[in-house]
Amino acid sequence: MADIRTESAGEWLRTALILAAAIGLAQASANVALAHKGKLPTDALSLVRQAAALLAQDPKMTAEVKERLDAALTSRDPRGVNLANVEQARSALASGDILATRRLLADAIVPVSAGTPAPSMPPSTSTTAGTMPMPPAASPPGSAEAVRPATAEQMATMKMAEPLVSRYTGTLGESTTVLVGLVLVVAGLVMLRRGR
Amino acid sequence: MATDAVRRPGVWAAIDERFGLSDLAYSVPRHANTLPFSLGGISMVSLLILGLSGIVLTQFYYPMPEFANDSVRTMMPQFGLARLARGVHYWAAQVFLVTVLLHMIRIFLTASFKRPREANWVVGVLLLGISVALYFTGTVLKWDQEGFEALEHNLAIGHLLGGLWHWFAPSFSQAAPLLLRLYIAHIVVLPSAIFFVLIVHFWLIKKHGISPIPGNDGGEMLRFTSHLAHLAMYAAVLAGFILILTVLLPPVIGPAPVEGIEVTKPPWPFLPLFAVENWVGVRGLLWVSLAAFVMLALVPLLDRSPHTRPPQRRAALALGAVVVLTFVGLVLLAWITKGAEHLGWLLSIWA
Repeated sequence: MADIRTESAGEWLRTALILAAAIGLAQASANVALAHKGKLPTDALSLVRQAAALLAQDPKMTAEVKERLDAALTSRDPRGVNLANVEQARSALASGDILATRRLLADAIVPVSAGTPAPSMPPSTSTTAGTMPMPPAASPPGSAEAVRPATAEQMATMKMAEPLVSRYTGTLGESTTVLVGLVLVVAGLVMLRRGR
Repeated sequence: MATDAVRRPGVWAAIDERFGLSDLAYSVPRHANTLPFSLGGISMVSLLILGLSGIVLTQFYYPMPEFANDSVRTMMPQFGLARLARGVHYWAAQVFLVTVLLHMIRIFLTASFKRPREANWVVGVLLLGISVALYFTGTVLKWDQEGFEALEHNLAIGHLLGGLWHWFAPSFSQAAPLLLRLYIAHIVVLPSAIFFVLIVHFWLIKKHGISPIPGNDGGEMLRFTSHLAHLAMYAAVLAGFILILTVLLPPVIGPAPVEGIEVTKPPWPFLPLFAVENWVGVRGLLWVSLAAFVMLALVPLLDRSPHTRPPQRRAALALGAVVVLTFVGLVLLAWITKGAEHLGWLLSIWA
């Protein structure tokens, strides 16, 4: 009798949970919220930064990049951006030259001193190959510092904004570490086998 | 005097008299030394490796938004202590989460959550939650595009919770940036929490003993110190693999984040949620996550029969298999889905 009661309670609970999950799922679908909001920014600087980041992340995202470049060229807030470079970048993108597009976008971001509007045709920032002006570190969404032109003070180390991948190069330290790892694996397996 | 004990000779005897180490030689079943029953211990070893490598990492990592990504990049070019620590930390985290999940699956398969161990199962689910939180905060700390998007999702979910989430909102503290607060959570708050909950977990294991193999209540016994020695051997194998992976497959650091785009996918533990978000958005993400943990915690209530042998638990095992396969299926689905596709065919039907 106790088992029957127990199993009935368990079945009831199971049913209730399944129903709750179904209701929750239905309710969740009624109000879809996208984490990424789905809206483009209105200022040219953010649009160009996003375009550059998209290309760095995935060179195939040309449609999304073009959308942002088009928006940047018609933006009412072009501060901090060399629009001529953006125009050239759009042409390079259309011709399929991703590398040139990325270089032009890097040159298009202009350092602006705090409190002064960005000149429309500044001289190119002196960058070595493979570097671009570092955008200010992103602040959490919703904060006042989310979009701010890069000031001269913020322009520190120039690094290309793309993933950094380390590789095995066979140095003494790497080889020693692999060897130590192998010794540990073998020793551990031998001891486990003996300990059975 | 009546309280005079017989003094044993030797250093070991002197230490044992003061620390009571020989009390560790209590009996445990022999199957405790098998790999399935050692998974919990292996995950504990991973946690220790995480702690040690994490301490080294704190010497090189700068937890402010302007410098975080760059400080991680600085660790990468040369193979030195920093890159070694980062690689060890990364791979130990993967091993930790995998072994925790396998440990829970084993507990479920052997019905080790049944009476009188129900409370320890719930404690284990709490440990899982803290472990996932540790993994999440760790992935944000590198402050690359993927970590930043993870944080954006977290904040979006926080918005849905309203006042309940205020502590975790950027606006809670004007002086300390959110990244710094997450760093403190990752290195102090969550490790402290996991430490105290583990004490409860180990106490309950000691109290109830290691669960028997279903259908085999007897069996040979051995000393717990032998189990510890076996764990040390597993630890050696584990450490070896982690070192090898650290060198041959070092972790990547993504680009510095740009706000307003969503182009990355989360790491593998969160890929099922990525797939779910494709169908039901952020709100659904919240409910699914909560539902998953609640249902996990209720497993001892859902399967209360006294039966432990698999042939008598077919329904429960089938349901467990469905859950695991669903998890794996969602991971694969998210893996093949493009990063930007967050509105799937389901929404087009419901819209």
